[in-house]
Amino acid sequence: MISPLKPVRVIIADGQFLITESLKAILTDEVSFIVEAVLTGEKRNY
Amino acid sequence: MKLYLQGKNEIIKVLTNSEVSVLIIDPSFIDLSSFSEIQEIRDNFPGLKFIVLTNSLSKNELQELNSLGITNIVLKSSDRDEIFEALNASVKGKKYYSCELLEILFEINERINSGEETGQLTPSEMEIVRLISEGLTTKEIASRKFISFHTVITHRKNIFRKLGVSSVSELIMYAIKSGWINLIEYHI
Repeated sequence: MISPLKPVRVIIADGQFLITESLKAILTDEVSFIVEAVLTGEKRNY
Repeated sequence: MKLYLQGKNEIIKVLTNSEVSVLIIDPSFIDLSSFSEIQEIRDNFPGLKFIVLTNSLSKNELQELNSLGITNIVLKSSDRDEIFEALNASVKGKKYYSCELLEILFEINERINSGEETGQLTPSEMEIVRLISEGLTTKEIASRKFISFHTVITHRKNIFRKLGVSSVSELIMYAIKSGWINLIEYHI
């Protein structure tokens, strides 16, 4: 796994909700990644 | 965290306002008929790493992405480990392809190494592509070019093999994307 000094910031852009949710869950489990935004084709707030 | 309306402009807006290193994207997200919009994002953010996440890719699409310098491509059927391998590779500036895509890449490389320059058509073959796109049949093309029916068949087979297409509609799409024929001139 990557262990940089600074976490890697990631954007996920995918219209499939299940895909974005799974990816987000996988990445947020890892301290080395920060999910900056998820773009799914709909406007919502988390 | 916010979700945004879909589109290239929204991606650019997020990228402009943050220090994002990696964009994981399904090309269909920005309704691509070609990958030119990915190129535009790349041009605006040269340091940004791309991971293309897709259900499937044709040989031509894979080649097109490679020509844009996008060499981290993962199928949506990939497991968690593959996703992380792709992420690790992209951050380190290395390439990563799902196994199924590697097979396609090997096939492309074999064809190139065996002297078949994929996508490179002779002037005669280009002319035949144009005539096919005008709706001419094999017989009509033979008559127009004063060559035999079988010669046209051979040209067609060579064109299809070189371009990796399997139907006339796929050929026409390839020709339009490559700028060989004008979309406006092509009427169904």
